Amino acid sequence: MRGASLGIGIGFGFFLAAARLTDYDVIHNMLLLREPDLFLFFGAAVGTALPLLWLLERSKRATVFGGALQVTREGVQRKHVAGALVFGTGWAIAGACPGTALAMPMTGNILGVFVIAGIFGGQWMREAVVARLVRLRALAAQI
Amino acid sequence: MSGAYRQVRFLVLGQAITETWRVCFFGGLIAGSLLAAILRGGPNFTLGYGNLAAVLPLALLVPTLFAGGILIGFGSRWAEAVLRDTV
Repeated sequence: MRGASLGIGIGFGFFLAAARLTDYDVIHNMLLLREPDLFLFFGAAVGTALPLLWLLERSKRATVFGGALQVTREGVQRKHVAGALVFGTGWAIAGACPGTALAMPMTGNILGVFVIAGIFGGQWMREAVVARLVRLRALAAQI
Repeated sequence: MSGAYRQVRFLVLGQAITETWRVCFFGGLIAGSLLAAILRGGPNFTLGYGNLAAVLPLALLVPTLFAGGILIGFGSRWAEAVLRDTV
């Protein structure tokens, strides 16, 4: 399983860098709808993954994780919308997502390390907020 | 991808890793992007950041990118199941 994850990671990182998704201007132009070809790139990824996942789930074949594939289905919830809004704002500012940010320094874009550091910090902050809310709710329940 | 960052954070902080495969994926992504850069003639190291570096000096660019990263990380965890039954 670790080998498969490593291999898939290598392939993913290779294509992110080869497609120049590590370039701020490429992402910025895409978000400004100046480079619509990138939407075809994303569409191709979804168009490939969707039928494969459907087939894998339907066949009930054991995956490298040991069991049959079970795709989790969730309706749109408040957390998805709120998270997407915050994530998208960061994406527009930095011109990167968690994957491309990681590939940036490898292609020579040194400042990508600050985006990576921010992502680690942002995740930690969100978990700290949740932990505090849980504590507050527990306190409120005792009162 | 967001989960991979979380597991690597656990690894760096010496906490228990619950999904080792995500750490492997994280490392693979780094290796794969480096491989692509090498095949293109090697990483082209720069302190530039495209058009954003043209409008922001380095002293402003660094905190801006860090803030962008904070939003990406915060938003990704918000949208994930970590919030189930909490917010």
